[in-house]
Formats: sequence, structure tokens, C-alpha cells
Amino acid sequence: MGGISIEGPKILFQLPFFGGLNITETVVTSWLIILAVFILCKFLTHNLEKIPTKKRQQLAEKAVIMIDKLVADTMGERNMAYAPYIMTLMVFSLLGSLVSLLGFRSVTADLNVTLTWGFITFVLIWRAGFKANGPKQLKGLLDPIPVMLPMNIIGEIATPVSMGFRHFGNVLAGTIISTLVYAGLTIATQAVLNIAFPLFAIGIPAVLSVYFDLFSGCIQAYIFGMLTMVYVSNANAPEEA
Amino acid sequence: MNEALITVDWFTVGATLINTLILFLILKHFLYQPVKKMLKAREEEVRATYDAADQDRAQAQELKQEYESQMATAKEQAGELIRSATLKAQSHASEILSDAQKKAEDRLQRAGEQIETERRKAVSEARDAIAGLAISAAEQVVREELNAARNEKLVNQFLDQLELPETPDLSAKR
Repeated sequence: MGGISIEGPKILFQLPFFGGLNITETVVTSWLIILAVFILCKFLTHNLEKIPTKKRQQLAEKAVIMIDKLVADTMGERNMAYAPYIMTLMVFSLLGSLVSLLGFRSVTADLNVTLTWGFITFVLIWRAGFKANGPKQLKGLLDPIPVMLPMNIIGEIATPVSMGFRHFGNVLAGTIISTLVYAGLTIATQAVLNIAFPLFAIGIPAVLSVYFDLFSGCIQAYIFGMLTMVYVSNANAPEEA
Repeated sequence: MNEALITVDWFTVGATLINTLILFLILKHFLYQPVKKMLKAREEEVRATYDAADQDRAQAQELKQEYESQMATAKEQAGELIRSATLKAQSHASEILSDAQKKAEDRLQRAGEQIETERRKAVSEARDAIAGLAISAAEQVVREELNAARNEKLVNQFLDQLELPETPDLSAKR
């Protein structure tokens, strides 16, 4: 069937340490994203004025205010310190998904990336819990009865794992469907018109791409950020009297 | 060469951790914090501007009240000034009037006295002239050698003919 294969990220080169470290597409694309964001930030925020006259400053203000509002609404005013990290998560996830529009392999289509973010969220949840409740936070694992301890531990670990797999799965599914549609349309062109040029593959995949790359990328970035905010703010929620 | 679709590559995990940290620092220091700082500065400036405006308005109100009270006082003072000036002028005018009246009366009286003196003088002059005439008439009579009775009659006749006013005191003297 035309040899369709869905594979992991390309290994661009190997570093000869520890028996060979793989520098994959994912890592290099991440560096490019970081560079792009750095340049964008410098462009948006140089010469900030109290009375904004430039579009780019209004854009920067809008982005910051939007994130602030989102964090304040979801996590409460006590957790405003998390705003820059939530911003980072959403920007990285969004751009990591949207680079596929530029022909790169999505950064978020690599399980290692999304699981790492899940792990960071996990750390943040427990850090927030310990800060708010002290060692009592561990006692929560014994609720409602001590027998539940293994279940609770699995539940806690499941949170970052499910988050990582959800994001990875969504992006990867989009990639797989797009690949299948391309292959299918190519075969269909050959079968119907008997020409080698994949005529049907022009235009139709673009519609799917709008959903799987653009829409799904935005939604997944939002969901990942939202879940992180909800879990962390639940962990340090003030005890209700 | 590709990696497996689902695998754990610890280098990618570590790199992602570091990448996320770097992106976090970049976004925090080059976007979030500068914009927040600027927003705060703007907010403070707006508040300061509003405070200053409020203060200015209060001050203006105070000044306005002060000016209004000053204006009222000035108006009152001006009214009083005009009133007193009018009173003064009126009294002055009546003074001048009475003075003038007095002067006029004085002058009238003096004129009357002068006229009286003049009249007396004229009468005495007239009497002198009459006496002179009488004497000359008497001489005439003497020259014509008339008797005394006739003489007297002549004189009286003569005096009657003169028709002088206020003659009584003349005849009384005789």
C-alpha cells in the first residue's frame, strides 16, 4: 500500500557521549522556536512607552494582559506568579504544534516533550501543595482510608502521564490522518484519472490541516495550560472554612 | 534515521526541560516583566494625574470662593463709598446753597443800605439846592420889597411848585 509509515522524529546527528546522544528534529525545532520567540519578544518590547503609539507594544500588552486575566480567573490572584510559566507553556505548545504549517515536524508530536511538560506540571502541583499544606500534603494520599494509598499514588502519577499522552496523541493523530489522506488521495488520483500527479491531493488536505494543525494545536495548548492551572490552584487552594 | 514513534529518549527529555526553562526565562524577562513594569508605571502615572487634577480642582474651588467673597466685600465697600460720598455731596451742596443765600441776602441788605444812604445824600443835596434857590428867591423878594406875608406866601408857592417827594420833614422843620 505505497509504503506508508509513521515514524518518530528524525535523528539529525549523534553526539558521541554516553553511547551516543540523539539530537532529534524535535530538539532542533525547539531551539528555532526559542530563537524566534526571543527575537519576537525583543521586537515587541523594545522602547515601551507609557502612552503606546506602536501596534507592536499594544500587541505585547494584549498578550500579557490576556495571560494575566486567564491566570487570575483560573488560579486566583494568589497564584499570579505562575503567569509567566503558563505563558511559556502555551506559547511553546502552540508554536510547537503550529510549526507543522511551516513544514517542520511538530515538536508536540514527540512524546518526550509532552511528557516532560506533564512532569513539570506534576512537580508544580506537589510544590504548591507542600507550600500550602506542609508535610500534611502527603497525608492526602491516605484519604479517605489508608488502603487507598496505591490507588492515590497511581492517580497522582496518572495526571502528568495522561496530560502528556493526550497532547501527544492529539497532535500525532492529526499527523497520521493527514498522511493517510495524502496517501489515499494520491492512490485515488491514480485509480480514477490514471496519472502519476496527485491531483486530488491539492486543496482537500488544506481543509483538514486547518482543523488538525491550526485548531487542534490551539486547543491542545489551551487545554494543557488550563489543566496545569487547575491542578496547581487546586493543590494550594485555601481551605474552606 | 528516525526514532521510534513512541519511545523515551532521555536526552530529548532533558533538552526539553532545559528548552522550556530557557523559553520561560526569555518570556519572563523580555516580555512579561517589561510589559508589567510599564503597565504599572502607567497605572501609577494615571493615578497621579487624577490626584493632581482633583487637587487642582479643589484649589480652584477655594480660589473661586475666595474671589467671590472678595468681590462681595468690594461691592459692599463701593456701595458704602458711594452712599457716603452722596451724603457728603448733598450736605456740601446745601451748605453752598445756604452760604450763597446768606451772601445774597447780605449783598441785598448792603445794597438797600447804600440806596438809603444815596437817597439821604440826594435829599440833603436837594435840600441844599432848594435852600440856595430859596435864598436867591428871597433876595428877589427883598429886591422887590415885598412884605413878609407876601414873602412867605411866595416861598410856599415856590416850594409847592417844586413837587419834591418826602417834603413833610422840610415843612416840619420850618
